[in-house]
Amino acid sequence: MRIYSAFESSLLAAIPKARLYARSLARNNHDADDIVQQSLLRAIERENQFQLGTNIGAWLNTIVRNAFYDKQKSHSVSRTDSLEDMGPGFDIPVPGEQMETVELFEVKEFINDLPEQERAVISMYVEGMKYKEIADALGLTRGNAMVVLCRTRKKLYEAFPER
Amino acid sequence: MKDKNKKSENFNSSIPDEISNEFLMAYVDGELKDLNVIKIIERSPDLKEKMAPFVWTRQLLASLKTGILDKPSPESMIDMVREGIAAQERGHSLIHDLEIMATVDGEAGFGGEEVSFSENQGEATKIFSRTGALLRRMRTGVLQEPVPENMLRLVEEGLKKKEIQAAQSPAFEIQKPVTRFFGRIVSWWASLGPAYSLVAVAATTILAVGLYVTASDQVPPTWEERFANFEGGQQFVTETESWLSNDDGTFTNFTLPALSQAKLLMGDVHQISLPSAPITDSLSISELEGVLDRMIEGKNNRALLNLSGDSSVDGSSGGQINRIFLRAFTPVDADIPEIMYEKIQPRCIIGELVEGETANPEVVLKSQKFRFCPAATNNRFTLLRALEGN
Repeated sequence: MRIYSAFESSLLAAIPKARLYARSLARNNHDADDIVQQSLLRAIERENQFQLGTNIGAWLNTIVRNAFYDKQKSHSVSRTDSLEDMGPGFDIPVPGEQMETVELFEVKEFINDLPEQERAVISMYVEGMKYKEIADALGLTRGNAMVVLCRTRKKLYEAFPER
Repeated sequence: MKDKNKKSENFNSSIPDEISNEFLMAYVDGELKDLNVIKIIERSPDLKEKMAPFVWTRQLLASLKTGILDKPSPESMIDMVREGIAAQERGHSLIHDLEIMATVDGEAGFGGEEVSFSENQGEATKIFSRTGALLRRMRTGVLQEPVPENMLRLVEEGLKKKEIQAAQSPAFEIQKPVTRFFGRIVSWWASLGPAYSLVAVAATTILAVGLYVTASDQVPPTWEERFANFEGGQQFVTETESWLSNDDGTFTNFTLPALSQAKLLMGDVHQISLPSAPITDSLSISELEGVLDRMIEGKNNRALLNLSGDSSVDGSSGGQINRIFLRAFTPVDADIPEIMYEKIQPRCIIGELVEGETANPEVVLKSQKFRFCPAATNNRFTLLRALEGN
């Protein structure tokens, strides 16, 4: 049985949130995974810069963010927001629920147009992360994460008021 | 604030009797406005010297400047203030909104404590309930998805590759086994519980003390031991005649300090009394080294290499004399046979220890060539062996 080092197991545990963050940045699942892979390689290279016991999620996400901007500089991030690219819930519109699906697509568009930090916070909130987890992943304070989330949800409500 | 103003007023007041440190500091910081005081300071070398600590600390602190005062405030903070003010104007407070959002989401409040807010029916509640429901429907479940196989492989292979690369680096060759060894010892100790750890520490200490005692028990070799190579060995033919006598056939007696200051020239013969018994008795190597140290004391490398004169140490006892003839050679002009046996290093002396008769010093009973390297850490004194078949 393979024995994982503390660094390796922490890194593996941080991958799901890194993928989520990368998706919020790239707005494209395929590019997001490319970015995460690049980031993992960079993280392994810089293992000596990471202090065990500190927040590896925030550290990895910082690398993800830098990798995203590097990729963006090379103009290789495409923004292909198709229904298929929006996750399992968006794959096949079910008759009767079509209107709802269209609305969700619009919400997704709305989120994609948000500034980076708001997009990241809301994407993590969507996936059920707690305020503290969002804050930790993004290197924010819990209060700061709450303020950003609150502001974004108000914007969202203005765009999609209750019918 | 008032105090500060008061202080700056003081700086600009009429000329004080004595220029205080505060004035000097203000001058260095460019905050001193009083031209008369400035003139006094600039004309006085003493005051300029006195202000040196302020100049130094000013430079030191300037290097720590972050420039935060010149940077724009973060956008998020500006937004927060604006929203807070706007919300306040609308009769809402941002904290109030945050508390409601937390309540709707089933989380602790803004301060991290449970929300005791009961008014959850207002507009804010509607906003957060609606957006919460909308956003929950968009969940993709990415966090619950297993990590893709390619990413797992990438991490595993990346770390393995890095380990191999590190193992091939020269630093790793030394560090890894050493750190691994000590790491194992420490983890072994840690794994034993406190009582066993204590026993392990005690055992290691006893072992270390034992090793130290054994090592310190090693007595340096006696002269006889060192001289064993000579006993029964090859007799050397030496040029003792020219070394031992002055032109008038007398010997000059020198004390050790006098010898160390003596000008040693070729042809001079120096003798001193050896405090010890003949060489066959108990002259220890360390005693001999001490004599040699004193003889060459204060002579630099150049002087030592030019020390081509001879000196002798003469100790009379029981009809025998011990003489140490010191001759220094540069490797270039070293043409005596013993140079062939060992590579002569700079700052080393080739000497000869001769045992002869008191009545007839020219008769050499025993002779042994040696090399003495005062700057060496090990084997400062070495006997030179006779050439095979010589």
